[in-house]
Amino acid sequence: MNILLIEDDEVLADGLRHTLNNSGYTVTAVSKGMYAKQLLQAQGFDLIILDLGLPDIDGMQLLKSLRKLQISLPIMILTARDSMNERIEGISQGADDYMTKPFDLKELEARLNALVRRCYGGFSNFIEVGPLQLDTSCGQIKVNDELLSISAREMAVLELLMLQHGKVVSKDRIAQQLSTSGDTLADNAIEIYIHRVRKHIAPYNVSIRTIRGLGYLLEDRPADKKDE
Amino acid sequence: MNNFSSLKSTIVLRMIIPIMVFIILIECAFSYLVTLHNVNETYDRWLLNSARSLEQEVNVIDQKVSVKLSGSALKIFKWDDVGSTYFNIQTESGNILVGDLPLMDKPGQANGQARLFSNILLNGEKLRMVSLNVSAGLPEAVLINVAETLDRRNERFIEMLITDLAPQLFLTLIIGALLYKGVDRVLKPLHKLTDYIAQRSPSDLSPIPDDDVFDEVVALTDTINYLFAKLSNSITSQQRFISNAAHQLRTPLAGLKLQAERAQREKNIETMRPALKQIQNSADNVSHLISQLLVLARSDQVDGRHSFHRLDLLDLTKNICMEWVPKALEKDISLSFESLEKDVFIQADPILLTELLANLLDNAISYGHQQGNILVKIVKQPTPCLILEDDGPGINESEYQKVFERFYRITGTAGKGCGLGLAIVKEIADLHLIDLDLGKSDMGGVQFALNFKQGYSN
Repeated sequence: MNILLIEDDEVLADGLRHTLNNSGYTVTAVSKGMYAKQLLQAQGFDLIILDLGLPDIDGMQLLKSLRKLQISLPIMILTARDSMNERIEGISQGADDYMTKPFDLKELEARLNALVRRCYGGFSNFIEVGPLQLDTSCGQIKVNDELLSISAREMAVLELLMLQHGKVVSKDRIAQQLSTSGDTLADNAIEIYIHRVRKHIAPYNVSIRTIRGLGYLLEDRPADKKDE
Repeated sequence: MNNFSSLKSTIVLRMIIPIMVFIILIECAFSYLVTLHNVNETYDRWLLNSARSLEQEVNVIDQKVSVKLSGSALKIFKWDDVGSTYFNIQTESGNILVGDLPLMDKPGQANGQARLFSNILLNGEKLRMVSLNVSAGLPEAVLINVAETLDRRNERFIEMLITDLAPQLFLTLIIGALLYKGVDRVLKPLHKLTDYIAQRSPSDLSPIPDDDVFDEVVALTDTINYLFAKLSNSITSQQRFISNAAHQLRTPLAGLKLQAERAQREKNIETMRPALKQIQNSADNVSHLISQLLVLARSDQVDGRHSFHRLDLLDLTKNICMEWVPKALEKDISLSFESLEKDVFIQADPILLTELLANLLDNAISYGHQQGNILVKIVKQPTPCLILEDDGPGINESEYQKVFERFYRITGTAGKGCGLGLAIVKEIADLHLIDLDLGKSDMGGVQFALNFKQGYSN
């Protein structure tokens, strides 16, 4: 993976070059916007990291002109400005993702991976929580390569929780998911389903935590006594 | 003709000149009428005297009226340096005893008195005539008519009019000139004020002396001074803030620099690691501080209220809480939400309100115990109210006021954040007209109550 890094701050450029090289990318760094165009035409790159605060040319303008030249590589922009307007403008001018400075290295790498996957790799169709594996393309949930035997509705609930793994899912959202078939749910229907799903996943040390007043959270750890 | 941009020209053209014109017209009209009346009165009286002098010449001879006028008397009588005089004396029966006027009708009555004067036309000339009826001691009444041309009167009229009017007009014009100069003088304080402000340096915001004579100018000066004071305060507080912020940044940067130098002195990576970890911590702290400063600056904006929307406080709060649950769980803290309402609508800036809640939650999590509890509640009556309480260490009542100050740290909490969290909460609360209440929670820790005073709930 060849990355073109357009960054004028020496310390930042140096740091990025070394860390990304160590992570398996090949990074070429330039400090001026005008070199970027020349290089892009000379060499083949797979991804561009562009800092918007360049000294010689307005980063946003460079972004616009790159897109105008039909350069369709994925572009990640780095910016010190984190206002909503700036983000929206960056994306609408053609950037694929943005990171505000200062950023966590781990987050940058995760997002670069996501960009690469999106543009070059197929989707990772699997979501894993503990030993549970959700195949998003067909909605099947397997554990240790065997299909989990649960009812369709219970599957729907568990699928939603796995898709939103790490985030709290509200009761309303679950209700929405369950009533796509059009029939209405009884008041405590959701509690019942959650209770059933808990029973199914308990043996695998995966649990659903109740967040009072807010919803449910799927966790990769054994259940708490109070959530029974 | 209606758009004068200058106060002076407006006063002059809209006020002084019309008044002057009005006064002059009145003067002229009045003088004309008065002079006319006076001239006529005077000459009419002389005319009457002439007629009366002729009366002396009427006598009775042989029981018949007759007049004997010598030639020289006649000459004297008729002599006129300007214009001509005519006369006759006629009997009641219609005989002209003497004179060069034709027969005249006896003048009628006016207001019960015998009218003496009339205007007649003789040979194309306009004449003023007096007709005196004499009957005392005479067998027959005679009518004495004396008429004169108007030349003398007209001459005299013009003379008198000019004598009367000229000084008046002259005086009026002088007054006009004085008024015009007066306008200048009245407007001078304004010019003085303008010049004074113009020659001051643009960064000079000290009060303007308001020792002027005129109330209106004093009022203007006072208002300008008030604005200067406000601007000055704003600039001062901004400067103070920037200098505070700069100082706050120096300490973590000093730590960073020191740890970097320390790391370089180490021989192997293992001994370097602790220093490098500290560097990372410092960098994170500085980053956090800067973010908080930016939020503070953003909530300081004067026109912040323009980005207020109608939003559902319930919805917003639930979403924010859901986002913070994972972070709370890192310390095994249980974050829960309570409300009996379906929706609670308020006017607010969603971004700022999110910042406010984020800071409260961040504090609760940072300072809370492991396996602690945080509860967020929303009630609707009487006004929308958001309550956040926990079972953490709480805040001492003596520090209730101070915790909202910028950069204030509760003793013993140094290192956990930068001291701006609650200052941000307070700024945003003030902007939204929220009544911010701090107290002890039944759960054991602190309780923050946010009362939305502008509460209207739909």
